[in-house]
Parts: sequence; C-alpha cells; structure tokens
Amino acid sequence: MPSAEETDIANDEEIRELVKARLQTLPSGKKISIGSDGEFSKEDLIKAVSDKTDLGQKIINIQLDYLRALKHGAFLTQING
Amino acid sequence: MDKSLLITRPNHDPTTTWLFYWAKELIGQAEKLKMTVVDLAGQKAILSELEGRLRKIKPDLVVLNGHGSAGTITGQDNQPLISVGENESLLSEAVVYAISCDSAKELGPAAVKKGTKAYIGYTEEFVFFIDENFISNPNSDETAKLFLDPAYSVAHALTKGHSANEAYEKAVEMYKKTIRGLLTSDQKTESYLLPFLLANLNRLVCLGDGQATI
Repeated sequence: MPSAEETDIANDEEIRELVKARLQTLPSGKKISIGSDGEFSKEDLIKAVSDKTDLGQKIINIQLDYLRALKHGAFLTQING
Repeated sequence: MDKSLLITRPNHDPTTTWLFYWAKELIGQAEKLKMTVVDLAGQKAILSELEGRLRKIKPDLVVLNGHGSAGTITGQDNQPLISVGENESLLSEAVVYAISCDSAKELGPAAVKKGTKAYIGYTEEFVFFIDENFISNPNSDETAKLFLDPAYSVAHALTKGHSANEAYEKAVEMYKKTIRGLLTSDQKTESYLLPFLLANLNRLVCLGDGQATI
C-alpha cells in the first residue's frame, strides 16, 4: 500500500496532468498577462506547470478553484446570483 | 468644486500598454463630467510626479494602473509608486482603485488605516488575455475586452458618483454577465477563459467605507 506521501505525490502529478490537458485548449496566438510575471503563451504555461514553477502553481490554483466551484455547484449559483 | 481624478498609466510592456490604452475611455468620460484630470502617463508615471500631484491637488479619485505586489504598486519601468510603510498616507481622503496584482492584500488595508476612504483592488494576480496582433491598437482586442471592461467599470462607476460598494458590485455583476455570456455562447472555443474570469471576480475586493463617494 502506498504511503500518504506517495499518494500526495501521485495526486500532485495527476493534477498537473489535468491542468496541462486543460491548458492545451488555449488558442495559439494569444497570451495571458499575469501581472509583473509577464505575458505567457499556452506553451509557456504548460512548461511552467511541468517545471513546478511559481507561475505554474498560480495557474494550477486558478484552474483548481474553477473546477472545485463547478464540482460543488457554487459556480452556477455564484454567477446567477 | 470640480471633482478630480489622478490616474497612473505606465506603458513599458504589453500588460501596461493594454491598460494604458483601455484607460483612455475613462479619462474621456471624466473630462466629459468636468472632472479635473491629472494623467500621469508613460514617463510621468514616476514617484516624484505622483507624490507632488497627490500633495498638491489631493484628488478625490485615484486610479492606479500598473504592476504590483502585496505591498507595492509600480509605475513606469516598474519603479515603485506607493508602498506600505513608505507613502500610503498620500492616498488619504481619496477613493482608490488599483488595477494591479495583489495590492488589496497589504497595501489596501494599510492605506485605509492611514485615511484612504475606500480601496478597491485585487487580492491576488489580476489576469487577462491579450492578442498581440493588436499591439498597435489594443482597444480592438475583443478577448482583452472581456476582462478589461469589467475591470474598468469600477472606475467608470466611481466617476459617475456611485459609492465604492456600488462600483464594486457593478463590476462583479459585469464579470458574471460576461461569464454567463460565454457559457451560453455558440463560441464554445472561448470557454477556456472561464477560470481566469472567475479568478478576477473572486479576487476583487472593496476595503474601507463602502458608502464612500468622490
């Protein structure tokens, strides 16, 4: 049986793969401005998530917040409220 | 007495360029409303200019465009303009809107403690998409518009005399309307924008006296 730490690592990896898959849907030719971090293409973001950088973590947080809101039904309640 | 607006508009990278152009409409509206407008644009968006103008005219409304962190908002070439523990008291008696990352985390509360009537800003990164094909004409960038129109609606509402809390609520409603529009649009290809619009919506806060007006 995997340890709790091994499970966390596996989960982190699964989350990164999920976020990278979502980022693949971003169009080419557009960039996202993330304040003083700069402007980033789809490829930049995917690399940041793979490389586990601070930028990658910011993107993971944005995507997970959205997915959690969807899962709990909070998203539709919020935007229709 | 005429109401006054002081706005900073650095312009040294794509992010600040988009904000620089988007703020033009706000300046036009303020002028139409007969407000006194102090526009610290480009090379004028520096500490010495800002401090001097804040002391001299004590603007009713301060709009800060630029990069930021929890404790600082910067101007041209990322030079610090307002920093916690340095000069946040210069914003006293004003209503402030910061289109900048993170500043509502520390700078906003510190400014309110020093007398800023209300501080509207973002507690984490403010994000938006840009299409660099529009570098010479950012106002035509329809993707950026989805983010920047709700963002600037705060300042538009304040110039029209709405309270800080009403301006905040108007922006929240505009973010929601934009999100609803994308959800029901035939253009499903734009659903990738939803997490990022939701992030801006959730990170926008109004600190201080929500009933404050300019």
